[in-house]
Amino acid sequence: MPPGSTYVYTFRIPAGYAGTYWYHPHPDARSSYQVTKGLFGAMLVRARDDPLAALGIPDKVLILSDNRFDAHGAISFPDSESLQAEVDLENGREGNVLMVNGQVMPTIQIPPGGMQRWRIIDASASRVYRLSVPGAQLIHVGSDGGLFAHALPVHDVTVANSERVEVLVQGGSTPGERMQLVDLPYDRYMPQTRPANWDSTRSLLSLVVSHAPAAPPIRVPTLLRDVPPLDTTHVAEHRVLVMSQGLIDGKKMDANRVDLHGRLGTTEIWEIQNVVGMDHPFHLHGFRFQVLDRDGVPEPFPSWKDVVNVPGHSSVRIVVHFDDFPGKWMYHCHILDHEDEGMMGILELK
Amino acid sequence: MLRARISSRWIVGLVPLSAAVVLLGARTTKPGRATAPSRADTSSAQLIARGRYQVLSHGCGGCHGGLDDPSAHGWLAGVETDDQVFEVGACTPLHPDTKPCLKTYPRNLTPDNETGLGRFTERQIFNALRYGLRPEETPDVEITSTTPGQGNFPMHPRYLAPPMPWTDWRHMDDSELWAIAAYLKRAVKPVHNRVPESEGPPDFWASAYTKLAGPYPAKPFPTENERALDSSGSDK
Repeated sequence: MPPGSTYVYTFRIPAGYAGTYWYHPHPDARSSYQVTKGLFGAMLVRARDDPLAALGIPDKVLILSDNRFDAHGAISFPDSESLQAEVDLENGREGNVLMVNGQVMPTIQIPPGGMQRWRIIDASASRVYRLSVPGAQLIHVGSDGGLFAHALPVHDVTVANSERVEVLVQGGSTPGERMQLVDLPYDRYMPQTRPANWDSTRSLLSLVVSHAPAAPPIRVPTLLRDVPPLDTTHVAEHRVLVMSQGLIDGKKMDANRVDLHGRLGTTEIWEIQNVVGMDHPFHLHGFRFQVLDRDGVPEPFPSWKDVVNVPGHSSVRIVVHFDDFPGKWMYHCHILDHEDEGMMGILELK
Repeated sequence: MLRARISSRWIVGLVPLSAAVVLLGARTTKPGRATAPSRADTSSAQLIARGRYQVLSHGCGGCHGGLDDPSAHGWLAGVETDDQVFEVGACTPLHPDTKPCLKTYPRNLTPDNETGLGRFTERQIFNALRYGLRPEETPDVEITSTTPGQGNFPMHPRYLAPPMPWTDWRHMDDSELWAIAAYLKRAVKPVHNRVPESEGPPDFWASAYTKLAGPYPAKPFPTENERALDSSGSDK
């Protein structure tokens, strides 16, 4: 969009797409820069029959981002010829200041015994978070495209670039009790550019039990919603997509080239192989998909995704149904610096 | 042990990245156009046989597995045991307490898709052998320059980790390098073996190789260190 201009998007949200989404600009070779400058936000689609809202569980949206600042507090970018620029190109730009909703270490209050639903968005250019709240119960209830069928108690949950997770957090029972949402070490790096402090645990926010009246106990329903697996008995195309470093299928993005041709109304299975030693989060525009298996290990239950992290030297199979929306759609690595470098392709649906 | 002998030989050459390792060529030289041999040049069987001969005679298995025996377990399958790991830099056993000590891991050269060369084209393998460029970081394109940013040579080259002696082996003929690529891709059975990524400087050895660049192609014969023959073929 040219500076000073306006564009009105109009779109229809199909039934069953309730979930946590986010938006950011996607200009050629400038996504990382513009997101780093703060151009992103959350977008929630709520279901009329949301089972957790029906129980009175309050929502919190937590947008995770990181940034790097100079001595004057300005957002700092490395000189393009510097080694740091090369490291940023390899890892994706990581900041040393971690923020939740643009704040460093904010505090969230929770009544004694209370439960909250956190909708967490990784809006960082490249940082992958492994989230935990030591001392609190964490229940994983949803992903990019909304709730799972069943709640899943977890110790920690990993959220890669552009991924979303929904978790229920049960705080403590004693007023004044403090806990922290922390980012545990996650090794997504090449050894050459792995940050020296990659294995440190970082605090993201404080969760404090308030002096409010104790919250009534909540029983999380055993069935959150129906998430039927996509039908894989009639598959029009089986494709293999190969991610290496900055490349998909050995090529850089060309806006004038169509890499994949698909047909509306069909179902496809994509095997996404990562043939290098660092993680690449794969994102498909316009469509939600389900993960079938990771390195041959079947996914335990279906869930709706639009980003899937593919760890180094591994593969993930996804199934996608192209129900509508003809035209050209991008797929890319969601490390924004990799996307800017052309780690992207075009799917055309007719 | 053979592996230990090979290791110490290369490590001595690499500490501290001395001129013992001939490094990337002068930026002004223009390598010849690199194109795959046509079917008329050689039959597929001859091509594979030549590639196998080059792989055997250049000791690829000494580091990448199987030593000199294509029937051995782990032939070209990359690091499977600790004694195949290299230590590059000022580290044990010469200087046990100094830094940095970098571990590098000869990779899986079999055509396995996720852990080997299966997803790289023969041209990407050719480019690795000729220019030392990591295939996973280099598009599947013909390279016609050694100047960064020109002729498809990457602006920020990412080089193979030492002690891979690509700086020596790039002087082989195009046809020999294509034959090696063909043998690795077409004639070796895939082995699924996930080798750890090699450690190295954040620029993937670019500054080291750039500083110690030797000319490629090599300067024409005779240089000041060499003796020309007279027209009769005898010494002057």
